[in-house]
Amino acid sequence: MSEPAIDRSVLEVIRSLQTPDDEDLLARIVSTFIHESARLSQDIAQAIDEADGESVRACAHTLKSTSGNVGAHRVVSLARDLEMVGRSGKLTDAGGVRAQLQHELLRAISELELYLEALEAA
Amino acid sequence: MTEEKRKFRALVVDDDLSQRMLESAALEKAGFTVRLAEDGEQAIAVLDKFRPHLILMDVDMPGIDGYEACRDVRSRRAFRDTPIIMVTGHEDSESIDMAYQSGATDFISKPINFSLLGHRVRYILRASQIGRGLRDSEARNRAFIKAIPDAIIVIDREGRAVEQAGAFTNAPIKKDEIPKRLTAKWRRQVEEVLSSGRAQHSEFSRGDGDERSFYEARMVPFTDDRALMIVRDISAQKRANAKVYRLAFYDTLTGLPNRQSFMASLSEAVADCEENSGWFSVLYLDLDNFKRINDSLGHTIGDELLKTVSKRIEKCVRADDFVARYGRSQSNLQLARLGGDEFTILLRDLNGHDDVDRIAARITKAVCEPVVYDGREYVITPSIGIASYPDDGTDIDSLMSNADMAMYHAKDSGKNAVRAFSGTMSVRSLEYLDLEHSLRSAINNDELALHYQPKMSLTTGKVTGFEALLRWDHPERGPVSPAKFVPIAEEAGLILDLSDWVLHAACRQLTEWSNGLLKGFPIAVNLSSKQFSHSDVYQVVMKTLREHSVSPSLLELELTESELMRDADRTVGTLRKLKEAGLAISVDDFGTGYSSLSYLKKFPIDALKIDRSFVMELDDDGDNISICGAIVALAHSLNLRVIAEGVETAEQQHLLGFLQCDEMQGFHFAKPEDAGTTSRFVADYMARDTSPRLVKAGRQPRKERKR
Repeated sequence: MSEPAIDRSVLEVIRSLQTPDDEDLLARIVSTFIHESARLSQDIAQAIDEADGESVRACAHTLKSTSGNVGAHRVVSLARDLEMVGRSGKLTDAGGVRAQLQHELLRAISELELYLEALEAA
Repeated sequence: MTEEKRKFRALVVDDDLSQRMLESAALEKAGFTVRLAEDGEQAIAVLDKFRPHLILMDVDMPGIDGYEACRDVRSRRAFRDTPIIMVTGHEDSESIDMAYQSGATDFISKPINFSLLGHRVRYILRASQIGRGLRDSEARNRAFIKAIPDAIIVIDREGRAVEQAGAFTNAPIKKDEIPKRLTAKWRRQVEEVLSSGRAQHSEFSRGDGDERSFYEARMVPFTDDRALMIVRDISAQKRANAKVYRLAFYDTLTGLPNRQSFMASLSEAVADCEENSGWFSVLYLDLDNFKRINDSLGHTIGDELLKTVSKRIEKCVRADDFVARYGRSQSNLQLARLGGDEFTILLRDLNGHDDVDRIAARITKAVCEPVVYDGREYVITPSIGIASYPDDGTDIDSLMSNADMAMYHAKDSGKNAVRAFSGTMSVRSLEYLDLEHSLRSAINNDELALHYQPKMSLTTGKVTGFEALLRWDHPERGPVSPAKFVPIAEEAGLILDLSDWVLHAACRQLTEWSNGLLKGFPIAVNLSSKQFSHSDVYQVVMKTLREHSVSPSLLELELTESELMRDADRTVGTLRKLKEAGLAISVDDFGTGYSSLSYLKKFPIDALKIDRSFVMELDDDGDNISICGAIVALAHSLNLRVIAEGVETAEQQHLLGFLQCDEMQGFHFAKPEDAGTTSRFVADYMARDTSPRLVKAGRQPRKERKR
């Protein structure tokens, strides 16, 4: 997969919002994303196990929003799929989608970390 | 504070931490002070304290969702207009509709372009502030319109009321209430207003009778094809004007036109008749004895009677048959109240004087019907005088005074009568009638009184009796001389009433004095020849004496020489009977008439009273001394006493004593005064030594004296 997991222009926007009073906005956003997405991914897996479509939808919705904010467009796309699956209540394919999402999530996180390291080095 | 420098407060509501962080960062970057809330409840909890200028609200939140939170915020008065931007992750139109329905100002879809969020939010805020400014200005205008007591109505080129500004509740008129008959008028006015650009004024009314309302309308240009009409209710003003008019031209008690109004109609009638050589009549009506009703029963009853009477007269004047016969308008028959109990009626365009008489007779009949008020019956009679143009006057003043004079003549003829003016009625007779009119009431109203002048014996200096003198104190004219009113009383047939009154008053006085110092002193009263020609005078006198249990010997009757001679044969008989009954008779004003001595001998008289004209000039006129001496000698030869009247000086008294006059009366001794003053005078006099008043001339009192 050569396509980047993160849309760097989104991160540039966040950086542009930073002020001298708030220099680590991007770092905090990324950190928040890492923690939140891990938790949400966990919750989605559990909801699928419990066949709780509504929880799947709600968690996927939040994940979609959170990952959108850091430009993780592949995660956004898969979270949207899961959101629809959850709303439909037919969770048969949910496990597969969730596995893909987990994979993309990890990729996005590693790219974000690399980006932050590069920034710090600069 | 300008918008750029002002720190606006933004409330960010989102359950997603990173979302909150980014939104917050973007808004702070745009200059907002940001407060964060994790959910709807938290957002509502901080509202009042933070007072945000703007709210960024996530739709999808645990607990109450964004829609509900939005509705909650909107329900609060302070945040009714605060911009709320809904952040939605759903792109469907359904959630956008819901956002607006919940009261959202705008919405933003996720993912948010944070680099633009600040600008977007600022734009929304500015737009909302402009909107709010407009709403405020509209609210102010609405308040103004509400506060103005006028209706503001838009009129189109067709003259139709198409729109009305403001709430209708306070408007004096609603656009649909403007009478349709005015549409053509508005159409013309709109054309005029729109072409000239100048305002147009007019007035109109709506409804009838008491419900009638009056409006003033001002029309000004509004748009290219519409005018604005400002309508004000001027009913109160109109009614006030009408009231002022009524007060000026109408009588408040009866609602009839007043004198001023009547005079105006009258001069109009004169002007019309001058042109068309027409004629008309003025009826002058006065209620008989109304003053007495007012005085004795009070003004409340008097006013009620006046109202009833005026309605009756009005009914007569407006009677259907006359209206039908002449098809006249009300202006041809005007009834007015001049004031008090006086009414006037103008009768125009009648066929002939017979109709005037018929109306006068009809009025008389109607007024005479008893009036029942408060269970009591009152009968009021009218006296009506009629004067007609042009025969009885060609100007309003002479017509009015001639009708008035005719009315007095109607009263003179015994009241409750109608008289048409005739040239023989003069102004002098008018005064005469007036006096006569007052004299009638004077007899009943205690305006009359008897004054008493003591007579003194010139031999003993003692009081011998009193002459009663009639006094009339007219309420307006003051004292009226008996020389003036007695002839009037005689001609008007009032003399019997008057004499009757005098007899009773004298007898009452004798009774009053019978218990004290003045017991046994006789009172002399003056009788008129009219009374002596009345066959019952003897009966009347005796009956009065009996009524008061007064001895006839205490009453003296005085008659003038001319009265005595007028119907001598008949008078002699009456006097004889009176004398036999014990009354004393004296001849008054002796020396002024042409007495026949042979007649004088025939009369059963006791005394002669020398007229004051001889006594007055006694001091310096030798002739008068001779005349007085001759009268005394004549009287004594007939065994009559002589009494001198009008003695004003000591010298006169001295001379009379010298001439052997028996008694005297006059200012020198005592003026006529009311009973109380006179009795006090006599008491004082009797207590004093009277010797200085005795005449030194050596004359013995006559022993034999006819009484």
